Amino acid sequence: MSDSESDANYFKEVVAEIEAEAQRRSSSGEYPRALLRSLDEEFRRWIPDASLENGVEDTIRSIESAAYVDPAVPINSKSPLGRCVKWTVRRLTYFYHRHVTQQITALGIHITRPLRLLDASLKSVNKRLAALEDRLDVDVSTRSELLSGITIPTSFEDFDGVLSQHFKQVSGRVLIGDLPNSRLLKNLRDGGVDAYGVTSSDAPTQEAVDVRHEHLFDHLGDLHNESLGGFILCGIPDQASINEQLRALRLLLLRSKPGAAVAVIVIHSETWTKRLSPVATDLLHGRPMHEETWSYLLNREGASNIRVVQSSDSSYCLITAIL
Amino acid sequence: MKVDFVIPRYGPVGGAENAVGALARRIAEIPGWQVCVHATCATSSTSWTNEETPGTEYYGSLPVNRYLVNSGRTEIWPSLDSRVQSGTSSVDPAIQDEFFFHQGPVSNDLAGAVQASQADLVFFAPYLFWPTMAVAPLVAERAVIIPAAHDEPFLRLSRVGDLLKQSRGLVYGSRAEQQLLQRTHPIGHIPSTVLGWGIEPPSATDPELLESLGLADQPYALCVGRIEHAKGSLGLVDFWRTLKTRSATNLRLVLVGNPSVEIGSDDDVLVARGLSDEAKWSLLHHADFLINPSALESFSLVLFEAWTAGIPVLVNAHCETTRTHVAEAQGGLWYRNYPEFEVAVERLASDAGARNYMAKNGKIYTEANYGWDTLVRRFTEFCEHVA
Repeated sequence: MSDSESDANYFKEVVAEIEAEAQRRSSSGEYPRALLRSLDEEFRRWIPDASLENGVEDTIRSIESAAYVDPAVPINSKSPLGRCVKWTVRRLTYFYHRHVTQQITALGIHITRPLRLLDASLKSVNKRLAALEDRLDVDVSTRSELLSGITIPTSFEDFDGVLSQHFKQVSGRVLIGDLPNSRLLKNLRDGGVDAYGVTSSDAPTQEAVDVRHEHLFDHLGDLHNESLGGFILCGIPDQASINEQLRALRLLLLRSKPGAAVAVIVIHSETWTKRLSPVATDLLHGRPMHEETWSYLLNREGASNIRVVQSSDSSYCLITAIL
Repeated sequence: MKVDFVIPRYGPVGGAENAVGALARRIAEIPGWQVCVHATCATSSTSWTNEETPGTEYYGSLPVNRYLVNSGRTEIWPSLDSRVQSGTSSVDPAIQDEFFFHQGPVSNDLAGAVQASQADLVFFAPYLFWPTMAVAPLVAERAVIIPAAHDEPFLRLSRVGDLLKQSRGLVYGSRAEQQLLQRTHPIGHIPSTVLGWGIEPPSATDPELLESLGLADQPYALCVGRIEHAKGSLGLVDFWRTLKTRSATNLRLVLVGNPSVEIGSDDDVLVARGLSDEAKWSLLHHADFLINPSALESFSLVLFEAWTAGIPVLVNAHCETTRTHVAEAQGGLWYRNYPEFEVAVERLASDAGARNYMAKNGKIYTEANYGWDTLVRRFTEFCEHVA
């Protein structure tokens, strides 16, 4: 084990020990519930809902705890007379305030019921979705395990000239995703293309500016339609499931302006197959799609000028088109 | 390359303004780069009253142009603030404009100077104040926004979306901030970079300080920043006082900053107001660890100050920005609730080995990712990319 691995393990152990000890203390009843609730109130008040791990559940809980309105208003005062006056007023108006607060509390409880139903329904949808995903493709962790054992070249130098020419006249930004390395981006920029990258890799691409470290689907999900001048789709055609490849193409087409220049870089199925073990051959079936399939899909979306260029070693091909 | 920075105030005030000022000073030292700062004469973000003299003052190679404020925070602002916070999506653009006007600081001279500037790029920070919201659109084709934003109602205003969408580029403090803004407004395709910020430890510290605060022989945990509800300060004090009733730790909590809510000092908690930068660094150097309880951070410079000073940190796990920094650096711990807070504090207080290990990691992480050479290179490359 290297020093950095041993360091990372030590850190994980410390974090895990703290979480386990905190869990033990909580479940052993060391903390009075009222204490935890009052501490939570101020702590959670300033946490953005989006950052709560269990957003709906937590929101319902906070509505529930806020729903109870106590009619016994505080009567503390600096002077004994003030305290006495407040106590008298509270005593005289208590029947009225209790009546009102009971109705408000009841309203709060009624509000949380449909939210609970909604939460249950969301959880059920998530469960069914996960089951559906499992049926459609190999389990995500199995897939990434299999893919990590396959070496895929990520240098597309053969295509630099064609790509620069293809995107030269584009109006608007050109997205490259999933960006394999900064070299492709740099070469395009050097060729005068206004390009930026999206990569799902967490490794900092320090040598390149204007690169988003997020999943391509998340990035495309946040963009408006027709906001891109063009795109280069790579990486995903080699490794993702067919459904993901089709989804990536559909989203990219939606986010591109009419007349946008588009390109897809895909490894040849034969080259790909040669690198697969029997296990991967069985489990990663259906990818990558052939160049003819990409041409067909682009043609079906109304793209014109569809061209296919082969890399010098015939391991990759580039499909370009105009929308 | 000619670059201008526009910030509401210049000096050791405000996290984003301070960080931008430090960056501007570094860029101004690069041969061939012309840099200047436009700021108002105000220093207080709650009033924006004129306190500095208008005119140009040099800080090393950096000229700072200060302009008089015509209108600061007004009496109408609190009601507009409540209106905006209570229902962001229903606030029409005219009310939003009114809100930003009354939020201030409005400076017509500053607006005129920025419009007259021949800079290739004009950087505006942070997004929330009038100089950015009202002046950046006047030079939109050259305007780069440094939002310094966290998850808050103002961020969802349509005017903020318009500002970001029409800008030339965006500079973020962290990936978490970038993703938050891209989720909130459709701006993912606009040129942007995750820059982060650099720190400048002072050359001198204040050796008398610990004695004067009664901390000479007292171990303590430190919390630095505005002392207010939204920064999690009160939640932290609640947690701390509970901890002291349950745990045998002899640590004291020291809060450094200007309180907007009343917190009394006692044997458990010490509130240190109005301290200088040197004093803050003295306290950082001698603390056992730093706590940042805020869930609303776009970068959190103070974490990096703590690591530079050689101490680990404890952060609110619900803040994606700070938790990511700490997890990547392995430079401290985080807590999601009171029980985790209690156990983490006890561990940091009692385990000097873990403390030193995390402090060392944090320092390495700071130097590798946010050293000035790295930041300056990243910034200049981005300028050349978008100019």
